[in-house]
Amino acid sequence: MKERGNKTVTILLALLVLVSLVGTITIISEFSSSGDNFIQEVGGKVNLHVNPLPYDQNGKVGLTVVRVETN
Amino acid sequence: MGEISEKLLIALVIVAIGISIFGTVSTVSKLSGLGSITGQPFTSAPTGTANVTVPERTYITLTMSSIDFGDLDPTVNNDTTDDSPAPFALRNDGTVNVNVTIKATDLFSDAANPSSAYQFKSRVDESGSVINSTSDLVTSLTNMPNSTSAVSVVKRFKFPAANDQVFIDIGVTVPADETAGVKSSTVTLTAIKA
Repeated sequence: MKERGNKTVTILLALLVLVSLVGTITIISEFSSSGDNFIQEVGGKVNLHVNPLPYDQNGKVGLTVVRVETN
Repeated sequence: MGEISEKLLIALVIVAIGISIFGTVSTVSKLSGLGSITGQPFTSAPTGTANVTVPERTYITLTMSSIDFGDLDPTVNNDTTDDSPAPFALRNDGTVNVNVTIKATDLFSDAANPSSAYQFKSRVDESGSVINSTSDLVTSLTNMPNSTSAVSVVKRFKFPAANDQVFIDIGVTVPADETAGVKSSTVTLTAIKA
């Protein structure tokens, strides 16, 4: 009977230790995360489209000038 | 068997007490910085004093977070200083003044950051949003840094609601040899308590 009582008390104490440990870790982790309040990042986007330039038949940029001679 | 159980019990009690003391001390020391609420509940005309500490919080918002310059030919330049297109609008929604830095990924394949092809500057939207509008802002277009080396864009950026918004202008000049197509850059603004 006494041995059974000891077992019950042991289990209860083990539970107490476990609960205390979980509670302490939770509280400490909660407070330590509050340090993130001092730095913050936001992001934006810059977009544009570059138009293709006209190329002549030699691969050079610009308009092709055709010289026409008449008699 | 009975002797072992008693030793185990004693050990568990000591561990439980140790953890409880450690947890209590940690919690009390953290909470002591948050102020307290006091009063005199047993007098006939009770008066009370409530002390509330507003936590310091850094929080900025890009209310305008995208700039589209549309179609541009090589060598052509454009910027947002005339509000066309609209610049980035940055608001301080926190509870402290902040310093803000800027960095960005490359916009052009032919001109890596930093380059005069891709620039930034800052100006106030709501007057008085910085303590000194000359020294706390970047008042002329400056080459955009690359994504690993941020530089200051706004200093001592204030948080009260009536004076808490600035513009970040962007200027671009398309390099002569840039390939045609869609170009995009991600701009990162980082706020740190001033």
